[in-house]
Amino acid sequence: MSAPAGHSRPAAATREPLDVHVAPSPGHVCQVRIRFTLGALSTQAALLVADRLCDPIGRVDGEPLAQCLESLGADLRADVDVDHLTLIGSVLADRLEPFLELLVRVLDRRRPEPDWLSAAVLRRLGQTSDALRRAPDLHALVSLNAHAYGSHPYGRSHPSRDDFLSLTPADLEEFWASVLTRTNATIVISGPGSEQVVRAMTESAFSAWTAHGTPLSIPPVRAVTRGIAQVTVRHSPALSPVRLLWRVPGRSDADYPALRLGVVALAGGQSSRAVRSLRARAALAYRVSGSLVHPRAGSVLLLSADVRPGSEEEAVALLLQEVAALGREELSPMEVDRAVSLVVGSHERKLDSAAGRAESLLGLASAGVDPRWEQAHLAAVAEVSAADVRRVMAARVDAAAVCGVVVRGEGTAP
Amino acid sequence: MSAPRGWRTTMASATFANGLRLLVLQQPQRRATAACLSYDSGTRDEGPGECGFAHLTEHLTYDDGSGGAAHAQVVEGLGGVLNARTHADRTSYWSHVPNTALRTILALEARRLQPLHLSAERLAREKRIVAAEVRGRHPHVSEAAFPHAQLSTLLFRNGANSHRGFTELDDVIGSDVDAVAAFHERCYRPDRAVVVIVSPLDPDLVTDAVDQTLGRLPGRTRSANAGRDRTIDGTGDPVATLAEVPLCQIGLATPLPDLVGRPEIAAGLELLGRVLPEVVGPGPGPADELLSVQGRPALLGGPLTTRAPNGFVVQCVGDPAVDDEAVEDRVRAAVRSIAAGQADPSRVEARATGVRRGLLDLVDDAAELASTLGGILAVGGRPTALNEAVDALADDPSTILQRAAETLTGPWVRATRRPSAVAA
Repeated sequence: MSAPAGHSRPAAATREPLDVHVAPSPGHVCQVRIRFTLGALSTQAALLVADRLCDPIGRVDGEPLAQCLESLGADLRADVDVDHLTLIGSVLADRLEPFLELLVRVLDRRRPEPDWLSAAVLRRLGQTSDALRRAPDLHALVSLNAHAYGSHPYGRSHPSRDDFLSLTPADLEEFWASVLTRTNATIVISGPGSEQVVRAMTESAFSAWTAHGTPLSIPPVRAVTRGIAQVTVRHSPALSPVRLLWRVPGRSDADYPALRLGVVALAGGQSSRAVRSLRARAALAYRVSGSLVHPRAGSVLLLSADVRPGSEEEAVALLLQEVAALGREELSPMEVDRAVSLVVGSHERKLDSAAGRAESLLGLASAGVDPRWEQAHLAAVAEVSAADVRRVMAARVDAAAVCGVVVRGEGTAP
Repeated sequence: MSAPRGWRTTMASATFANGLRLLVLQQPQRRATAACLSYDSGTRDEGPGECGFAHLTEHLTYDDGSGGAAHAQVVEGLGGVLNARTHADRTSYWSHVPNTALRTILALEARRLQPLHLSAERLAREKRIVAAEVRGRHPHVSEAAFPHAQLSTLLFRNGANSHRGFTELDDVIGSDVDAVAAFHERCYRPDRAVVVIVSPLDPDLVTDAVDQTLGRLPGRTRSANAGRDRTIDGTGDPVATLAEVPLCQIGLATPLPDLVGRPEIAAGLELLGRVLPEVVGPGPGPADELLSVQGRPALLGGPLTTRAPNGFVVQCVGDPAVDDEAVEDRVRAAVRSIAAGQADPSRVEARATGVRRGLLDLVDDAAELASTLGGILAVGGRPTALNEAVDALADDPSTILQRAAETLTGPWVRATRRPSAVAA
């Protein structure tokens, strides 16, 4: 690849190795992911940078980004979570190389543009963020994170308008210099073509990008706050969000395979215990779900249900009963088989599409987990017994140690 | 890396004695099998007093009604996933399962085609769940959502096309067992169903399995359909409502012709949606500024399944005080200029590549592909419609764009929401 006219880069900078992962997949479209680790830096800076990097009228070598993408028939957006800023792209396979070169040009600038902190941009982001935070689902998540994590950076997961307005040029410079670097980037590409060819193409394209820094980290979360917080909102939501959380062992723990089966039996899929209890039998909720999630500072089990106003206490009690039961009694052989099948089936389905492969690989690689972990995990899951699940659920998920929030309107206060 | 202009796969099809249709796509690289059973029925089959029945019936047939999630338990016990969705023109049930589970899921689908044995208790429970889903999914429909729902009411006077089958719950809450069973009897029939299987399995083996499980179920005598009026009778009356929205939202719609069997025009309309924003432009001055313009042929029914009556929708977001009548004029003028062949061919070609990539993205996911093809076939489209659309976008995008814009000759309707402070 050659540098476009008018584009400058350091002449003889040392290039750090790039963390590139390729997952060959049949089809016609390539999925591209570039994930940056945030460390303990603020999500408001990440959201602002994500917004500006993907701004359709933002200029890349003098052309609006939308026009550059359009000429390739490509799609680019950004996602921010408590740990990451991720660029998510998709392009026809025969245009992968120019798309990668475009991504390098998007990233390879010395510093943020001066107008990124303009009042109009900050006001728009702040208004959008405030509007989203008023939505019951996000309001529940913001409240849960604040309650669970307190002063840890995860406790401020979703910025408010004031958070955006408080951003300074120095904040943005620091974010840019420390986050958007080769050191903190994980690149995943999934699509047709050989692994060697795609890897070489990627490394060649990104050789032009020399930004480097130091690896970022975040303090671990040892424990989360116990107890269920009651959150009252002025406008009564149509359904009351109930969110329950436990700090649990991560993927490298020997108990993890049994824990995963327990959680699948509890709240994975539509025939899980929690769904049958809250939806099929009590008709309290349409959506009930639960899963293990793996923020960098510590894995958690998260149970979610949006329930009929007035039934919040009943829903919480039913969910906690189901959690406690898993630590008291063994799953039936059929439940163990179902949970194993769901874990294996989920893996197979992920590998059935380029997008699924990209997401799966990104989740492991960006967390520093060897991509071969999945195969070892599936083998371990197949060896888990009902007694293992009961023991691990009893030891690792204490119903009484729950951290949670219930969000309801003023009129339905308990 | 190279990408062919279109997408090719081995297809086999069959029609069984009871009227059920089958399409099998053999894709050797797949690691799992996706199956989608689509019924040629949806909210447009709802007659007076039946608003929401299509969605309610989807729920009631989703499982066996025992409260134990038996259907999901079988599929998930095999390591699969499943879901269902109700549209205006079709209702689809899909599952994505290990290849060895094909016959099991077909046997489960056969239960849906049996008469509905419904208890009052089961109906009451499902009404509560449907109400929870609707309130959860559409919490602000009556207040601050984009004025989308109002457009079908403005464009169509016939109740089957203009009513809000997903968001109005009165008929669902008031329904009884007999009325719902009658709706099921009318709509869930082999001759109104199509099965699409995407799998690495041999098509003959798949066809045989479908024949034995679904193809031999008894057919039924056709009964009159309550809805289904193809009249387009737009009123053209704009509505303006005040809401706590930060910016002005303007929804515009115009009727579409029947595009079943014309996938290149359907693709051209998708392309029109991409080209339109640039031709409309941001506006002549700050007071007329539009922040976004989005167009798509999907007022009732999604991509490549545009059966008339349907509408091409344009959603504009702009300054709180923007003149909505002037915006409508600009959009209509933009459509006319595109129909006159005035769009820049190089820009059209570039945008067509994006639409083509979007369609090929659908092909990547087996369940999505089965569901998309099920939708196309359910409304009477050809199994090759997706290929034809992709090829047309690669071959001559300017021509299909122009021909698509030429089809928009009917009246336009407009619905506007503004911040209440501005309007006051």
